[in-house]
Amino acid sequence: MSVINVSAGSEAVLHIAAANAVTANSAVTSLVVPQMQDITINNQVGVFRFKTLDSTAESAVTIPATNQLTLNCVVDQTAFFGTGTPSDDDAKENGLFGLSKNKTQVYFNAYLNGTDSGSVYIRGTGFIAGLSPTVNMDSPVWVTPVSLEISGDIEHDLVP
Amino acid sequence: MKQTTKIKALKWLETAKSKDTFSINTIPHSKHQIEQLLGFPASIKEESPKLKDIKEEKHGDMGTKSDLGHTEESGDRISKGSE
Repeated sequence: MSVINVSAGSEAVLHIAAANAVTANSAVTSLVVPQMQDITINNQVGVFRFKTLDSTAESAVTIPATNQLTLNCVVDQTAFFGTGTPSDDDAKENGLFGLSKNKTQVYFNAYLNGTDSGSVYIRGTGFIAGLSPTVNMDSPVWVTPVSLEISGDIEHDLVP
Repeated sequence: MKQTTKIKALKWLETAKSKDTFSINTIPHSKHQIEQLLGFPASIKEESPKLKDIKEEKHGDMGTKSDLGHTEESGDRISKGSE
């Protein structure tokens, strides 16, 4: 049995890149979403159910899955609004806000137990959505949910 | 270095070859660099010549022992050989 424990800190990590999947592999070239509070990866397999006259129970077949990644994070000015440096990858340059506003397709790597060799991660491509920054005097730090609407399949791999 | 990284790196070193790389925070490091980060490259370099010396001494001893079996003045020869 091998439990995936993130209590050491900086173990659950999300890289986002606009150029290609390779750019998302590097912490240097990609946008590393900082100060995440939680992250959820949804692989909701669709099901079509039908009843037939010769059976007392429903039958079911699977239909394509809805894949989505959701998280909450503290708003970091650079990560949210981008570096503004044209030589950076578009994800880094424009930040989460720019990616959402421009509807830029992004590639992501969601690391489950760190970014070192041998660590497992889930990768895919999709679109940033669901930004909803909020603040109040009882919680005086801007926080926002982020959802990444995944297009197509998700795959897992190990960091080489 | 994080403890989790250290554990992964130590496990990787067990099977790593000299040309292999190990990524820390997605940045690849050579085997030598990892050994340096873990703090034991110098000891490995020092140990290897010592091991060679030990092997050579053993061969020498075996040779003298076989000669000693045929002579009566074995004690003298040992002292001369060692000097």
